[in-house]
Amino acid sequence: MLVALKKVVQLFFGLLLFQTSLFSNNISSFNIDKLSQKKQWYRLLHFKDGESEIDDKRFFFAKNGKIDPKAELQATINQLISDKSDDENSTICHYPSRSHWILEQIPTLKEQIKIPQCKALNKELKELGAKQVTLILASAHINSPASAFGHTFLRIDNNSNTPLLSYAVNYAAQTSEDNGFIYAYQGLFGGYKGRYSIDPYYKKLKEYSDLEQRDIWEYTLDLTQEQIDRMVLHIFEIRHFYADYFFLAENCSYNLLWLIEVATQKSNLVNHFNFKAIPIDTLRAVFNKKLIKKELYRPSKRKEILAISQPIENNSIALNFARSDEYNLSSIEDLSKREKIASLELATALLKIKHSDNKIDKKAYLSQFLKILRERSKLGKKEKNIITPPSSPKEGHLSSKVSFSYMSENILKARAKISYHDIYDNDNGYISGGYISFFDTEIALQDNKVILEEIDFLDIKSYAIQDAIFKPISWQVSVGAKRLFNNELNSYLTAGAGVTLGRENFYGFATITPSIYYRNIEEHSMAGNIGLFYNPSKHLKVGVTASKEWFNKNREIDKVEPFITYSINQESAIHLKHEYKNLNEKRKNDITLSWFWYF
Amino acid sequence: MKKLLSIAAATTLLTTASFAGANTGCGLGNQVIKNQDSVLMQIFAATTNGTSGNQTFGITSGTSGCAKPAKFVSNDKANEFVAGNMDALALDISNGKGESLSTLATLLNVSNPETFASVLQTNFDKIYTSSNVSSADVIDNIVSLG
Repeated sequence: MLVALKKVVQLFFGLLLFQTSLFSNNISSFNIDKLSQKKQWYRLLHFKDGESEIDDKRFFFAKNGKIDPKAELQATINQLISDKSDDENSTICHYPSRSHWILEQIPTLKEQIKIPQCKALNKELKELGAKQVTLILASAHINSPASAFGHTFLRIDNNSNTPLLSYAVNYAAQTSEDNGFIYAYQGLFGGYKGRYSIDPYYKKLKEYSDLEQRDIWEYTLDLTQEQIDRMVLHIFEIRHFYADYFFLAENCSYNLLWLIEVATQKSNLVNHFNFKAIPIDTLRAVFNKKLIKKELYRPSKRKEILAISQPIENNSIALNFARSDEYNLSSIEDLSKREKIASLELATALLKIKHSDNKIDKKAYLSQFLKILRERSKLGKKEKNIITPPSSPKEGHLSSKVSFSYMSENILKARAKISYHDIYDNDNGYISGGYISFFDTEIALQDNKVILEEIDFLDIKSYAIQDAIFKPISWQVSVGAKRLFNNELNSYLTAGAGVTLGRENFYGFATITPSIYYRNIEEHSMAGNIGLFYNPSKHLKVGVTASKEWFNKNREIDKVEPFITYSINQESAIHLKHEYKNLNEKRKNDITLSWFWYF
Repeated sequence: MKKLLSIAAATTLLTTASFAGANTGCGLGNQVIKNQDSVLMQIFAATTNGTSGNQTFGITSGTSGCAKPAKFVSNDKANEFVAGNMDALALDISNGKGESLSTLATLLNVSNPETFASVLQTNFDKIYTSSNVSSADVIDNIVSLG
């Protein structure tokens, strides 16, 4: 730890204090010109497409620093020379990342500036003791659409054996907005300020793993100590400033890429993401640059609870005890030791959930909590719960899709969506049962005419599997426009709910979904839907869905759709679908062969 | 989108003495309480890939707001860790294993973590004497076992 500190301090100040024989009062404008064009200077300023992405004016010393890297470099150098203060707000302590780089590039500058002590900064660097950086992906949570795309942040490790003592570096929008409309509008158009924050990692785990029951994936980055130090200094500079937060592009995931680029000084990462940055795609970009050396899976609380409860899955005495409010210990007296342990551990886990859901007050929680733990402590250790990791998020298909289809009767179709994962895609690397399509548009070419077939602005289907312990409700919301009777385009809104049973790679659902349609007049309908999906490997997915939809005015549509998708790799798949439709006694059979291209 | 109400605020408080006890962030039962978002809010958050948070820079320098243990004052990191992980640690000790427990063993420089875990499990009652137990008490009680 102390060695690491020394290294950082050395790296930071060693260069500064080193006396060089060269001395120049004026750094030639030629050098400034050359330096300001260096890619690393652009990275330090988060400069892309003609301007810096930082929107905080205090980040820049030059008036036009946001759009002029050369002016900003010159102004920073002038500031370094003129600033004679020796406190935490002095230029070097407040802008350690760029100061360090400039002094590295122009060593003679050290002659002309006062080097402050930066006590607070050094104390923080010491506390952090960065020796390793880990990219963390909190994966999507099956029944919480808010987390559908997952979330990424970095973890700064001092010791890889004690990640609970590490710190998480998180980029987030600063808001406490409650209104969904305002939140979405502001978020899409940069109405919030994005900032980096640092918190103990265990706090983040409480949020994501315990509270939201999300799986956590930890990817150790392959960085040298020098690169890690560079990243840390950059975090300590950039933390003071905000950038407008754009949910789709300049978001949590995207901004971590700047930190990684600044560290490596070479990886070209941010340029891959111009209009959207989805965590799973940014993870893959980092992976493709060969920057990941180790992957670790941390199962969600829900998975742990299922593993705990395995010995008592069918034991009603044990389950009743764990689900009760009074935890009557005598009711489990006759169970085997293994079953008792499972009962008590499950009871504790469910009690904690009850407490975090605010369904029990703190006093009652505490007395029950200690009572159960005390009983558990008398029973010794047990063998480790075995939880098989699901397929890694970095293995899944990329999140944008274009498909080209040939349909019987010589119809050609093309379909494109911005993101993310639909029922026909292989679930490998994704949460099975969680489907979101965003701006999904289909056009058809028939008899030399191009027509807009369908547009789904948003289509969420959450088929959350029920198990022995958790009984989530499956639900669906879709909004868009599609063709109905008379082949006319109707705008529609569908929302409904149901039940899903099975296991991760083989499950069936049943839902009821009312819809409203509108073209010239309003119509409404009620549909019953069932489906069965089987996803045995990263290559194969088969399924069948069937629905019956009753409209007002006594019209109805029946549909049956078996399909098979064969994924060749992460970028492409072949898909075959048979569609049986009965529109008010008008029967139709179509076979469609498609090629899916993911990017 | 999540809005979390964190009751535990130990690290932002400056005074020490008055904060030991059941109703502070230094005791048991200071879990994060979930805020129930509306479905509408969830859907918007889903489509906008948003996360939000408060600006924090929680690198603490060893001055936790909780009272310091009497018998083991020199290890600020351990004090802070215990204060921040009271419930998780109690759970691990009762199970005789777990990540919080092994982390504490590392922080306390324990030579044999396996034995340490067993001893703590057997003496659960002596460590968690009541539901008012504070993090300082827990550390003192653990150290007394040694």
